[in-house]
Amino acid sequence: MVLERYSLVGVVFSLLILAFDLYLLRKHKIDGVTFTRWFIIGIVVCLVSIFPAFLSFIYLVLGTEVLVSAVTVSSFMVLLLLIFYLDYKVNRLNDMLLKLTALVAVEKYRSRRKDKEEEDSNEENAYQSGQV
Amino acid sequence: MSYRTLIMVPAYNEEKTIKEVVERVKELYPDFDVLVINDGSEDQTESEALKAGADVITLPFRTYGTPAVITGYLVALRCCYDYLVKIDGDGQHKPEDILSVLRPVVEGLADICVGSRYLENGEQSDSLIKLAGRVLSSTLVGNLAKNVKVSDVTSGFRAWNRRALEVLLDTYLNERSFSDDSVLWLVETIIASRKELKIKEVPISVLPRKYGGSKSFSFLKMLKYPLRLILLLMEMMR
Repeated sequence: MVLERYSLVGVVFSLLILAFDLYLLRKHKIDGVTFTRWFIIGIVVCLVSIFPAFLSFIYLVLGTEVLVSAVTVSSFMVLLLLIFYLDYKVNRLNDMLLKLTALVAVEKYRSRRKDKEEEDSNEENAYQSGQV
Repeated sequence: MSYRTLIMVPAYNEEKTIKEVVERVKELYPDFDVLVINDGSEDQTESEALKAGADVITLPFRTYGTPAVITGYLVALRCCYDYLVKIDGDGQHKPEDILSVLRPVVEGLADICVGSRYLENGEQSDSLIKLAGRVLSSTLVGNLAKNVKVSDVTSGFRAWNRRALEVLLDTYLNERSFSDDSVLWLVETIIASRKELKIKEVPISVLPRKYGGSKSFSFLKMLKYPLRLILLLMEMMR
């Protein structure tokens, strides 16, 4: 089977997504859900690139027979990469938010505990000075 | 006792059991501090824990487990505790087992001690699905963490010393994102083995849940679990 040039571009593009996805997982920089989402997207893009006939199903559903132009494909790829990047960023921010939540909760707890200890110590001092 | 120990009880919507758990722990171990980490509960978990005499940290929203546990690690380290023990807030872990889990860590035999339901004298009344999950998890951990043999890798009844907490916190906060709750203990076991922390197991027994269903075991989670294990393998494989 000889692949058309656009199919090759699609396959390379999907492999790129899959490689980045795997790289980020191995570096512990994305969670399992995000990895799975982009893994599925990468596989779908790869399959559609190798078997463009899949797209005829969309023609049937949408009732359109307009061929996909190079501009559309390029825009689609750029947008997909952008969404991938944003998804990764959201994932990182979510992780940072959870870490910050834990850190802030602990600092608030420590400060509350310190205040309580000071209060207890003041009460004790007052009691002792009263006794004297 | 000359060492300071913190018992942490992460809890989400455990208003029916948390008071009993805290009171029992305080009754058995008056020298230990009890900290309930309320993971954004929507019920009266916080007030029930306070009534029972525990310290409470309430997270502002539900974080699904892992950050609540990390909060416990942070408190233990920053408030200068020597040892940390975690038990569940649903009443399934017996407070009577706390000393058994803590002892190997205090005696310096281990950095982390895991309470296992499947060791000698432990209970083995799991369903076939849970058994399959356990076999899969143990096989995976056995392959990724070569020098560690843990029969109950998903057990959350654990004790840590300061060294273990320092190593684990450094890894969680600086080297990786938080793990999904369902594989937290597997990830921790693998990290511990790679960072050369000593892990030991002791037998424990668990009680059935008195109220509600398990939060760590549902039909959807059961379907997702094998996928999580595959992802974990891809993530941690060297």
